[in-house]
Amino acid sequence: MRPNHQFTEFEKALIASMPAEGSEAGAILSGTGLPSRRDERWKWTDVRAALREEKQSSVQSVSSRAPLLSLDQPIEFLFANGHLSQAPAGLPEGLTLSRGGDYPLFRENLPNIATEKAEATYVLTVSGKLDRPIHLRFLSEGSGMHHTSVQVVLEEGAEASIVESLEGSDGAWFANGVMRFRLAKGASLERLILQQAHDDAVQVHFAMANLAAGANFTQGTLGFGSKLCRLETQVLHEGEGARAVLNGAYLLSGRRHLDNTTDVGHTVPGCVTEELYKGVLADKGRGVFQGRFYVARDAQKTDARMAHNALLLSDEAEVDAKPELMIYADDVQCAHGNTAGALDTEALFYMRQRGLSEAQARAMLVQAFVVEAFGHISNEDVKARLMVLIETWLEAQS
Amino acid sequence: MLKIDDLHITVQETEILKGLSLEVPAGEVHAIMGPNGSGKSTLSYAITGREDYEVTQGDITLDGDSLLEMDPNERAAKGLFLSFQHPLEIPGVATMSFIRTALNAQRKARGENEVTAADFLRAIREKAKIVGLSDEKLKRPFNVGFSGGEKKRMEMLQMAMLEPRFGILDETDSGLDIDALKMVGEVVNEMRGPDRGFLVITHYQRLLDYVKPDRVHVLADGRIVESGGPEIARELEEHGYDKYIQSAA
Ligand SMILES: Nc1ncnc2c1ncn2[C@@H]1O[C@H](COP(=O)(O)OP(=O)(O)OP(=O)(O)O)[C@@H](O)[C@H]1O
Ligand SMILES: [Mg+2]
Repeated sequence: MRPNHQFTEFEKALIASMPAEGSEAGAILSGTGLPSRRDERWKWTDVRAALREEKQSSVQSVSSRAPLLSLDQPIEFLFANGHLSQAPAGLPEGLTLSRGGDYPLFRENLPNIATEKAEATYVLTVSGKLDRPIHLRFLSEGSGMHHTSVQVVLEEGAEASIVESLEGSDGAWFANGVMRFRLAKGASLERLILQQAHDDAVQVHFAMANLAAGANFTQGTLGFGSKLCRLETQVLHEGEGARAVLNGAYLLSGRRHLDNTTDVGHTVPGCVTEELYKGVLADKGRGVFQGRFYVARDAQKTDARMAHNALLLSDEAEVDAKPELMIYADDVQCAHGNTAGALDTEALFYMRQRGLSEAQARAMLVQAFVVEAFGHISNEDVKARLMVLIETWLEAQS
Repeated sequence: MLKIDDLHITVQETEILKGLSLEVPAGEVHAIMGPNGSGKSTLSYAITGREDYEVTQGDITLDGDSLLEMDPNERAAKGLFLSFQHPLEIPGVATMSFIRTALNAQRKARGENEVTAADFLRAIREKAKIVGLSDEKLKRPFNVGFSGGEKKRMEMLQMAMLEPRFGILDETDSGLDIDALKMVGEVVNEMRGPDRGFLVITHYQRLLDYVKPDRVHVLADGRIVESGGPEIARELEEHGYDKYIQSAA
């Protein structure tokens, strides 16, 4: 309980909207309010300050729009302001959709709120190898708030890929989502998160992934920020020989804010984590990177590497990074690196001497910088389309 | 063609070129020799428009047009090419697409049509063979992991592809084996013609056996201190720069 906590209009309304009885998330919220700069893990991403005014629940429809990323034969689920408004008529073999699922109480309360307030907690279960990508499109519009909660369960040896696109039109909406991934033995999931929203939107998208022995969880992120956006992924290696890749790129212009927070726990021996984030900041863009590796005493032979590199295109941009290693085992390989720098002026001159305009040379160097974070993406088409989104962003800068 | 008149260049508050004048008429190849640190590379950067090389006095013109107000890429489109003394590695940038983007950017700036992918590929394969770079090298990120000599070959490949009207070779011969040296000679001699000029910066007579200069200039302490025929290069080979350094001091 926080003494003298002055609840904002937003917090008061949110508390009032929680179920009167048996709401754990509501009880926590009434005690501590929303995360703010006073919380160590949110010190650079102050959700409370970004959401002061009361918000109504969003209307359950949005205008249709072309997907941010068009995929080859996607199995598409469309969440319109949090409401599952479109799902495929029939699902391919090996994929089922149900409601329910079990939910632990997360240490963070926003995902708990999302689970309680979402219209339903959807569960996608995959068995065998799913050839087509699952596409969850979270579309937001207007000035209300909405919550989503989706679980993805991969049975033993299952293989799938999933794209979550967080898209939105103009408006000061607040979208709060929680994803839960459970990978059974030897299962393999390729996850891609794509985020693009207007200046006024506030987004928190949280995910927790539990990996059994030999499971493979590969995640890529491409984000362009919003008024305040936090993409958080927690991974727990629970079985030996599990492997996680957490890669991401972000490009921020204007006054956009994007926070990539990751927390990977290694509790058993022989797990691998590779993490690489690349950030490009223009104007007054604000990037936040928090990466934490926890390696328990028993988690010998852990191999965990983390790097975050930021490229500052403007003097007014800001990036805050906090890589953190908490290692209690002695026979491990763990490393982290963090850099921030400007474009190489020598390379720029070289390229311009060959005839490229300054904008062309900058664009080529920025793409070369960012593309490393997509090294793990096996689908060349998807990679090319992500590069097009980056090119579009670059063109808007010049 | 290229005319430099009383050029003064200041780099980080230090005057490096102190009233340098030089003229290379169309169709000619001129060599510049001079001791380390005398300002040869500074001159090549000043001509091509590198930032931080401040022109405090004088002018540089190509075909009578002053270059001073032009961006580096405008100068490139006008026909200037610099073979860098120390070519860079640019990780993550694909070699072929870089050269093609450069070529098309120049063509576009001159109001010419872009080259098609097929024509480009044909041309670069042919020229890569001449400069001695394998297909595998063209597929790598630009110059990444290349040896010093291979980087110089890449400079010559770009010159051959971009077909500049005026080429500056800043110690392209340094670090090259005999075959590569001959190759540089071949590329330059092939391009030599009544509408083209070259400025070849070198420390050694050797390159000038393959690229016969019309004139040789000695640059010492930021100025041209002597100009003459190819015999100057041979003299320097024998006696070094002593007399110029004393006269400059
Ligand atoms: N960016 C820079 N900052 C500071 N000093 C510079 C810079 N560029 C050149 N200089 C100085 O200017 C002088 C001339 O350098 P430059 O590279 O032009 O010589 P050079 O004649 O090409 O020598 P070399 O034969 O060794 O290549 C040197 O004293 C050098 O240290
Ligand atoms: Mg030099």
